[in-house]
Amino acid sequence: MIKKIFNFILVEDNEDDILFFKTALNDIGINTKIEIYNNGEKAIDALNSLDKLNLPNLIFIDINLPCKNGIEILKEMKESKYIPVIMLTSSDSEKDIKRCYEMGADLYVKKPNDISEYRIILKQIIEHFLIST
Amino acid sequence: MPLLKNNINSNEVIERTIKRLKAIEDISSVCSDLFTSDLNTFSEKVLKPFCELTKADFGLVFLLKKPNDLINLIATYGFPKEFSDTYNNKLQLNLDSDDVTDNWPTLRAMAKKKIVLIKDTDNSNVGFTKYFKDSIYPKTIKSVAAVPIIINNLPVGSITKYYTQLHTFDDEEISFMKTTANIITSTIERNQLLEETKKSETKLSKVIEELVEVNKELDSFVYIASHDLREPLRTIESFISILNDKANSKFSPEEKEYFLRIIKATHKMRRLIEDLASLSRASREAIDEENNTLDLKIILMEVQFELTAFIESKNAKIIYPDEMPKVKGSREKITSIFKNLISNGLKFNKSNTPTIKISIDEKNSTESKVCICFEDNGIGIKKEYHERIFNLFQRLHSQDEYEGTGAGLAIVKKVLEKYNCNIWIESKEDEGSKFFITLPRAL
Repeated sequence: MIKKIFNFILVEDNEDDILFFKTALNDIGINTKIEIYNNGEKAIDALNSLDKLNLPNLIFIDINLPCKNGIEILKEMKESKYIPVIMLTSSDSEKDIKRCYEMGADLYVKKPNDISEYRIILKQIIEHFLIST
Repeated sequence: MPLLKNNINSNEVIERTIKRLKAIEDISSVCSDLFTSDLNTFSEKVLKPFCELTKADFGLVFLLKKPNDLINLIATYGFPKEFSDTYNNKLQLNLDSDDVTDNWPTLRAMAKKKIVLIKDTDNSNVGFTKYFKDSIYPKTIKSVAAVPIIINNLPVGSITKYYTQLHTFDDEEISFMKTTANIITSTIERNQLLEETKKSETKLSKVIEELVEVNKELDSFVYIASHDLREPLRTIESFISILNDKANSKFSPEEKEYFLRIIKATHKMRRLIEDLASLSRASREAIDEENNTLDLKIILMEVQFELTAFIESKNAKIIYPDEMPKVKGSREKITSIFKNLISNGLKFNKSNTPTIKISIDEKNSTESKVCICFEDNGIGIKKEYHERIFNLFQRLHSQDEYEGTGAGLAIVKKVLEKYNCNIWIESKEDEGSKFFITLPRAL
């Protein structure tokens, strides 16, 4: 059905969350390549070194990260390139949600703790941002 | 002319009385200033009118500064400056020594707890000359009067005056001396009392400070605990959901049972942590964050709507007046209080038609606070638990009987405390309960 390989970047430092994300994404059965960075500096450097053709299709960023937090990373990424950014966090603070959208986030998702829910969310995100366009 | 003589006499008496009263007034006013001056200054100020009124040449005040201590010379009158500088606060005597009490009228008065009057030192058996005349201040002393200062039947000091000429002490003068001693006594007593009060006040405020600090620590502990426990719990929940999704079908019936227990325990932990987090929010958030005027009737309608399924399943009734007052506060918090109290009344209820009657309790309402009563026909609560039900995670029943973590009322109480408001209960076992809360009235 979908033959194309999608490139994702995931900025996340929690090993458990990385495995959970990968498992859910893998379950959907879409061909994806995920680059994982456990801090913002590395992710931004990597993004800046990529040429136009190899840019990722989607970026997922956790908010609670060491050094630069996810919102700062979001801001810097949005300043340089247009790639849909999905904030993926365990916080549901109104302040964070507002701040993320102000900084140009394309979506704010509270990390589900149920695998089937995660699959549905990821599937919808991919369909909305990548397949429909 | 006896009449004239009488007249002169009575004029003299009046004049003397006025002087005496003036001296007492002076002494009293000095006493009321004691709090701002030290004991030495105070004694000097009292000693002066004490000696001047009856034209004494010298005066001394001795005081015990601490119980069981030595007697200190703390004030002098009429002595040269060198004398005061040399002996004030330095001359210390021991009341227990016979030698001292025999030779010093002032200490004799203390030891005997009686006024000592020496009209003529040459004919006195108090061996007075030995110290005073020869070694301390070489002047010939003819007459001496020493009054003890007594507190709780214990001599704590004395006030003494000395004459270089022979002096006769009349009743009036003796009564004046006694009055002076009494004023000193009550002043010292008052001073001691004040010091004690100050000490306990200091102690109390220190204890309060410590309590506030401990409370803060507890609040931040609750915050950290609830916040940091969420993270690993979320991980557990995530991987349980993977196991459930991918492996549950392969589990044996026994394994399924174990797995179910893990899931149940995780759910319980989630509820506890969320309750802990709400409690922490209630104690950390400032109440002025949200200060809306809220119509309690609308809040009640909303809560009733939210609880529709629960109310219908219990065949319950919620009754409240058509008119409800307006209060001030956060919509979310006041709503959660109402929801909590109403669902408690329904939950702990075995009646066929559980009923919650909400009313305004005028008796406990004030100008600034509205008191609301939640009356139910539920199982009631024994008096011994009336305080404990507001403790965190306090439950009175097993999970099988009634579900819940036991945090609800603790959170309600915490929120109300933030508004300077109260919650209390009137209830007997099997006779239903009345929960009363006060809320800030919207003016």
